[in-house]
Amino acid sequence: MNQITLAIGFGLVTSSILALSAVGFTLQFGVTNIFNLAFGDVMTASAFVAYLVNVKLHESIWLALVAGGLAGGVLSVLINRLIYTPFLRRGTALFTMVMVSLAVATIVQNVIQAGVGSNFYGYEPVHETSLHVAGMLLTPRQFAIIGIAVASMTGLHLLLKHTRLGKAMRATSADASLARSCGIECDRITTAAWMLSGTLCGLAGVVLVMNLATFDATTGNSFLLVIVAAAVFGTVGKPYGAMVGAVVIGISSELAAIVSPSLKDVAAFSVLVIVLIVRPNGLTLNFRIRRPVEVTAA
Amino acid sequence: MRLHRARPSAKASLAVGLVTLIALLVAVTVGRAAAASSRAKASSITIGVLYAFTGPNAQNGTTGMAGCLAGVTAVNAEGGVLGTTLKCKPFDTKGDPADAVPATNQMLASASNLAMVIGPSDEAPATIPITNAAKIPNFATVGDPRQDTNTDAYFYRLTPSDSVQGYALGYFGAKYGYKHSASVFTSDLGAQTSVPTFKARYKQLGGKLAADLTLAPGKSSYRTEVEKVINSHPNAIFTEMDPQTAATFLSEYQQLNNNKLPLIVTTQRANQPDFITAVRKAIGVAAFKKSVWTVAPYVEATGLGFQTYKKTILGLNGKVKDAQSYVGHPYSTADYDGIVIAALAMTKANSSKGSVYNKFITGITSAKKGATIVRTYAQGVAAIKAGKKITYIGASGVLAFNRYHSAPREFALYKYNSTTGNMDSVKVFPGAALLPK
Repeated sequence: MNQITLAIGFGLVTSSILALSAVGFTLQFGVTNIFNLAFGDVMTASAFVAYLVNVKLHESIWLALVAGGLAGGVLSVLINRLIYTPFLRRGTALFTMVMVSLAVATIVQNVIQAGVGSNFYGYEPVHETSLHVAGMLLTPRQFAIIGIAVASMTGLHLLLKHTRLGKAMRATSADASLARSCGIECDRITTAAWMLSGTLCGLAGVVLVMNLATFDATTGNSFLLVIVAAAVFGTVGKPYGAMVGAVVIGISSELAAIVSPSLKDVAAFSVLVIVLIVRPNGLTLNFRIRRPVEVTAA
Repeated sequence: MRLHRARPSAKASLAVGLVTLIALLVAVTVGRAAAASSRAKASSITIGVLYAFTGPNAQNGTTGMAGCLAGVTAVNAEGGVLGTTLKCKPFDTKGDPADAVPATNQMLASASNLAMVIGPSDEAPATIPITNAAKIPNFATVGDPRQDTNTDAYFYRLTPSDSVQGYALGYFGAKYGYKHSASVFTSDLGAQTSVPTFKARYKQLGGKLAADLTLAPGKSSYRTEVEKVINSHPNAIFTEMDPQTAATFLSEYQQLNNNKLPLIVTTQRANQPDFITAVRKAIGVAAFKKSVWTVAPYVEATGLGFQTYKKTILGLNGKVKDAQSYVGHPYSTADYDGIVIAALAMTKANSSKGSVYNKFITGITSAKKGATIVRTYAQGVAAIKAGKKITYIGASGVLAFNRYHSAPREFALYKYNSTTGNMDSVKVFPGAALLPK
């Protein structure tokens, strides 16, 4: 079987996981200008919620997926409301907010580890036969992961383009002050954005673990760097750019593995560097320097 | 009237001076009393457990603490050392040399009556100079070949070098008919240190590598790499990976290879409960039992030393989570032995001070004419008090330290026991045959 076609198929699975997570990450930055380094650990927390549903409550993995997604959404909203928003109200600088998010990441990871210990966990195993489709070799579950990513991206596109909420999000992302002046309730939009991006984060955490076979309290955090790379590739704050970034990085790393597994990360980050040299602000054209979103008292 | 600040009178100055002097005297007296009280209150000897307790290597801390608790329990059951009980105190290196150094300094500054240290793991090169300079005996299960020629007088290695582990893997592969195998190791230091000697010994004995891959650990997919290995048709895969990488790689191998796995031969890393739990769940119990073997330092499961350790660790089921999983664990067993060896050395030296008892350590385990073989702390203390020379052979077997303070050990083949959930030894390899001539 052609190794390149096989690698592209494997790359699509990686890209799907990356798309869910990178789009969620970039959406958070796009609407609220927060470079949320706790994103990976929220993925881990969501994965553990799905574990409880799937393994402890013996429910199907698809119900666990929904539970994980919702958990990611709720946790993200809580983190934004209880931690980030108070700092933003005080006019905290962008760099300081990054440090705050790093602290949140450390806290979340250590709380998880204190609760679950240093053991490894996994969802109920499913032994599947790989399917040959168009030269690719994937299991039904991997096809489902690709389908979930495609459905989520399509849903997000429809939301952003054709709904009032989506338009309000785009307006808030473009210029929060002007959006507020036009009567958009930016605080509610921000909460909705965190719920949406957090749900994507939760879904990404669950499908990542479905693909990995096992996970522990640090799994999501170890994936964060490549998520950021995909987001930066497509210009941070631009969901469509993050989708493209996910596909490019996911497939290029699998193709590089044909030559040598050591080149996986080399290929992914080399592509990123080359794009940034040609387009310093990432792939998408219209990028502006942002200030932190003004937060008014409730 | 002109306002002015009144100058303090001579009497007032004298009064202030006297009060200050009295306050200083009181402070010094109280301080000294507190220090004396503190010394009086230091009724236990502290063993620093210097491992990662958080982060991706947190399992090291859990394992080290299990071994420490087993060791102090065994010693304290016999009245402790010189009438003083032992206690374990954890210090978190986070698995990173940059964090291990401040953790070590914190340990030295804060632990009262610190007599010995166990740990760390791969961070050891950063911490050994510190504990050595502080003259605190430090026992570790680090396999880094840089410790093969250790010259730090206070450092002792309880498990064989990874270079010897590599020789053992290569010997097994070539001698037992797996001469067309794949080498698949992760790129981290802990795995890579076995690779050069594995390849050298394997080729020397007629083995030929069908595929040779180095994996970046912790990736979300290894399917492309798995395809490469499958296409090379190996009759075995020799490997060392962390649990997550192994679970991902092997489950993907199963998926892409019609649910079949070749023989997977790995190192003592796979004897640890976190590896067994993760990989067994990913590939299924039947496949794990059939396909996953390890070549690891031999632990004689029938000796009195091991049985004492086993009884002690199982008795800690409240303090040590899942104590059964540490019964055959190479690292917790070694840490237990380290504590017993140090305790016997302290007894022999009649002192718990590192600079005093350190020179007695190698003598506790060395073979010598006329020595009484002892297998437990109780036996050792009784023999020492009777004025006898002793040789301690404990849970891990013979731990005779060479001039570099490393304890060479035999190796064995291990297979999964579904009744106990642990890896059990099934065959011991002759020590001399492992190494190249």
